[in-house]
Amino acid sequence: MKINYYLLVILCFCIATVAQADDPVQSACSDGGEMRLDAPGKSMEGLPVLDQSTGNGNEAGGLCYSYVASQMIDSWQQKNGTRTAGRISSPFHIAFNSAADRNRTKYNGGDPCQAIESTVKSGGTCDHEHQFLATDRFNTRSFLYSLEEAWKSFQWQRDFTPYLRDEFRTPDLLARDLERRARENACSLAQPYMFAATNVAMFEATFKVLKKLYKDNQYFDADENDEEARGHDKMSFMRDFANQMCLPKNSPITPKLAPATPHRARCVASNYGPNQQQAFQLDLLNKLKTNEMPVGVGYCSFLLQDSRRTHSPAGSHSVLRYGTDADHTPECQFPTRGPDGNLAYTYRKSYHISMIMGKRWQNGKCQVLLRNTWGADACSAYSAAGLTDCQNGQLWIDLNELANNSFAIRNIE
Amino acid sequence: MKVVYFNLLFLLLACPFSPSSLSAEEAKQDYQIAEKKEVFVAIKNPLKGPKEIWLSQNCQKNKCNVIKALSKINPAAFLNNNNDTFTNPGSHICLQIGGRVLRGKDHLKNEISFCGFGDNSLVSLGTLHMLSLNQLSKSKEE
Repeated sequence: MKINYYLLVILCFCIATVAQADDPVQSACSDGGEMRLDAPGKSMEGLPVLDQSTGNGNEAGGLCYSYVASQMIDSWQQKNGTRTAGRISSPFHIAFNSAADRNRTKYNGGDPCQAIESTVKSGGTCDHEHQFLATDRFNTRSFLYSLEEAWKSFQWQRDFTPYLRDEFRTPDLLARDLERRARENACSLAQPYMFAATNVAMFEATFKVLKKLYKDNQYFDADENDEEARGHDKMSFMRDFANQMCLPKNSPITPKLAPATPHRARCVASNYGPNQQQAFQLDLLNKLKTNEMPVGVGYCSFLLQDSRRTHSPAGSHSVLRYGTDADHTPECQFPTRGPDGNLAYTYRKSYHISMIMGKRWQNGKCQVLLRNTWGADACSAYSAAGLTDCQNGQLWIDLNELANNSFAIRNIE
Repeated sequence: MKVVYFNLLFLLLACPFSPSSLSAEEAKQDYQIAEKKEVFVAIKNPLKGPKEIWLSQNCQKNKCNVIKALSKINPAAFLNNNNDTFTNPGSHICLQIGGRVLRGKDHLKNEISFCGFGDNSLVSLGTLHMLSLNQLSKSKEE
């Protein structure tokens, strides 16, 4: 009887060992041991965690793609030895470049691969740190908010012709005249003038760009009612403004991306549908290990905020579903208030992208290290949603759970 | 019996540092916000969640605007802003409670954003997000 018991134990052990060897995800995950790209000598060493926070409006909404593109470019440069230490590619500049290059009417929302392609084409970006400081200089409002408001001011370009002709040479004269205009105009017009008056530094910087480009008559030639053409003008203005900020007299010009050959960055886009969770997991692990650069993952961000996990921690959590349309379009779950005031959950086509920068096999599970763009103190929020293995805004998450909530991968090869 | 006491003594001596064992000077964090160094200290959390939260040093006497504003956190605001699922959710909560978003950095240049008020008191957006999720969790339980 005792011998039979031992035989059973040995048999179970053998079955478990065979099952382990047959699990390709486990094999891909445990192969080579724990890996993290912020380790010394790796492609993300010294690359800081970024924070895609909004300012006074919602102007940074939808920039996750350009924040991820920024870190993918910097990681690629670091790996290829072309990154200047401490320099960060500007996510704003990447977004403006990409929108103008692709003839879009807005910079919110996009694909990191397209953004990287536009960045490579344009020769690089200016330094995020410089634009970060610019935010401080313009005080009280964020860089993007200021830029948006400056654009609104210049929508009235015909009134601003005297400025472009250099009639107001000093900030004082400029501010005084703008205040006069704000007083004289109706409320609807006063707001942009008031903005300009209280943000003379921003106005002057904008002014420089416009004066430089005025001769070419690049902006404001669109019909006032042609929203699309005005949108294109706006994207060109944003891009040129960002370019102006990079000029040597305004900031130290930053190195362009590495030469096009032989190490040209090629961004690969892979999308996944229903029942492709295992393909997603294997692709993610293999791309991470082979290229040793961060892998962008398109997923439902409510995954990181869903405190229902704390009530039922067992099992794999999912807030993603695929539509019944021919393309099986992914949809993400969100909490809302129902008409009766109670909490309800609905699905929408609204996505987020973050990076995976490490992997490990722990406690019988494959875990990946997720770096989001919500700042270095986001761990406290994740912990409120039951995700506790987190440091410096970087979270170890079960790959299986991530796969159940993800639908896309973007990576540089 | 002596062995048990000895083991207990050993465990006490070998016990790693816990936050409560830190002196007041050590229990501080500092960040650079708008080229200025701001010091943060652990303050008793007036809401559901962890016992302590990190607020700017001028909140030590529990009279700063941040503490007043925390009571205004409304999980509904979090829900109402879920059209924007990409941006740091703490920034929406900051605007809802009447603050303004300021960008900061730690000593490694990692970015952290803060919610600032008229008396220069500050709370990080991560803390606001965490408190809001806790409120949301509480309202679900109700």
